[in-house]
Amino acid sequence: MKTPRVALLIGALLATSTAPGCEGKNKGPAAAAEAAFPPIFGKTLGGEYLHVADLGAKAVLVNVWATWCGPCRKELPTLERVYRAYRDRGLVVLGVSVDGARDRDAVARMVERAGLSYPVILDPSAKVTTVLDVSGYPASFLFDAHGRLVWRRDGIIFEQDSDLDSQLAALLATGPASAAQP
Amino acid sequence: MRPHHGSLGLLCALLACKGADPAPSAAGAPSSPTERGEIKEAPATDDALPTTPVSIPADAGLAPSIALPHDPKAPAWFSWLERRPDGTVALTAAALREDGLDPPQTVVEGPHLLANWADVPRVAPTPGGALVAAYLVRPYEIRTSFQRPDGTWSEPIAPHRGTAEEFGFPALFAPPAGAAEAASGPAMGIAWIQDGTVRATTVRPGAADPPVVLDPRTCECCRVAAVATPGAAVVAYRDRSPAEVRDIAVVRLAGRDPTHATEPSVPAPRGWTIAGCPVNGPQAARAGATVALTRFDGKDGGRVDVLFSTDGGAHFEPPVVVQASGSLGRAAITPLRGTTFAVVYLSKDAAAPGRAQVLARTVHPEKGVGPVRRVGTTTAGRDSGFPVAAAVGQRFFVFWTDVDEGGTPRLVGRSARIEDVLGAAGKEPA
Repeated sequence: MKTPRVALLIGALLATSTAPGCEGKNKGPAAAAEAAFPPIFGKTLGGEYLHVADLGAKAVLVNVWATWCGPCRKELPTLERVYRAYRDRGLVVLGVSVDGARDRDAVARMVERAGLSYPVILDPSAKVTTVLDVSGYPASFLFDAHGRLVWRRDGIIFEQDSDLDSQLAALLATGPASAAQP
Repeated sequence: MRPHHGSLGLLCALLACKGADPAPSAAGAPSSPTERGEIKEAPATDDALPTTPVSIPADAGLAPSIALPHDPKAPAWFSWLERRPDGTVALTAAALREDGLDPPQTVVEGPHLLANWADVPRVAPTPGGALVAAYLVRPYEIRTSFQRPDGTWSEPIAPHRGTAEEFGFPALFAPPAGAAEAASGPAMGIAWIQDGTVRATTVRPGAADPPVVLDPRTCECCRVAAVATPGAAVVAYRDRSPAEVRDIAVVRLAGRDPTHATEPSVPAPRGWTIAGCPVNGPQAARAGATVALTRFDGKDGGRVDVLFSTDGGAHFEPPVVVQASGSLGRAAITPLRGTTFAVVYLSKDAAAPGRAQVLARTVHPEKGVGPVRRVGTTTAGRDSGFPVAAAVGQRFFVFWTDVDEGGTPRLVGRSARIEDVLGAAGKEPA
């Protein structure tokens, strides 16, 4: 994971350095990228370290969920369909499981059962809930390529969710699919 | 681990995006409004409540719970979960007296116990003084057990039936037919969540009556509260309407068992809509015929109310607002003196992102709320769990969970003189 991460990070930094609204910070591109995305990170079920800023996507939909949360379970297949519908245009869905450390196998079973192909990271101490001010589950957060939060949903994303669709349409309307591309 | 660069700015930006009100700190916190115009509010203060630490015999604990005795001369019971180094979990309980905790006793232990921050086990005395425990086991079921006179515990049973996917959030209460306990042995009412319904039954050592569905559609991941009242019991929970409105609802059990239950009702609806798991359920307490329910919703960026009933839960008055916005909820409530209660809750700490203040206020059905008093701080994350509080003798106890630098949950206990909690506003005769 290290080599791709470096490549993705460089790409993200290049994109960020030229992004409107990101100039004038006097901190340089690296600091801007570090500061822009929230500290959402963790290990995947495969044990690889992943940080939201490393995804290099044009848009990132962070979904905070737990296996014990019924609405979360119901929402997972919907998120997979959203991911499949928009991934070629630059969307990455990032699942953040806040299940406890002992529930890793339950998370894996749920991911398999829902057929998730997007990355899922484990956050057993639920740091993300403080970072993103989460008060209920599931909660989803849409970030642009520069880590700016453009939309959030407290509760589930529905099938054919017009609110999310309009946000994604606007965010993914132009430009290359990857923020890492020049 | 990656450092949390820029989390302060980010958090501010996120709060702004959500439209949440800035978090009021206890210091200089504005006096919370009330929806009851006749109630005069006490002025806000930045007083820290003078407290002393309570020694808790646990290296790593979480999921605290307190149960008050039916006999005012008997001790309260404080229980918690301990994660042991070998990976097992123990449910531990200790009598709570005015001078602190008695030596703890292990109720049950093993790798099968489920420990989490929101779904806490309960250990409570029956009206006859026997202890009953309700706790969670994997894959996600409830077990109940009674303590025998020799100190051992009865064979655990499941109070529920069927093959639901999940059972949880048990709440214990003295059954309305408690007077019959002496003839038939110890018994306890229990309510719980089962796949989006709230159910109740009466359990005895080794046996449970058939469960009754009190509400067929509720929040599936929010705790249930239950409290005995004279001749009845009140069960409170987070409702779930077809439109995903998740207000706090109540059912009153007025007969000998849960088959004699009123239809669910939502006192003073707030209309908080969230198609998800808000987790933050109600808490209940009573003094005589006065029942007090805590209520949290996220409609105004995190609000805590207390709902009072002065007729044993048959009717509830309009809410008294404890914190109008910026609250994390997770409120606890306990009778303090007369019909003055103390409500303890978590509030976002604007000065320390990632942290929360543990606050306390007195609340009274007619006098409204007293000043905000700071009891302590904890993590704002879910690991802080749900604080609990109780008045025992002349002392007021608050317990909560914090997390040490290594990420291990630790129980924290503080106690204060009831007179200090009541302050100048609390001169109500006992």
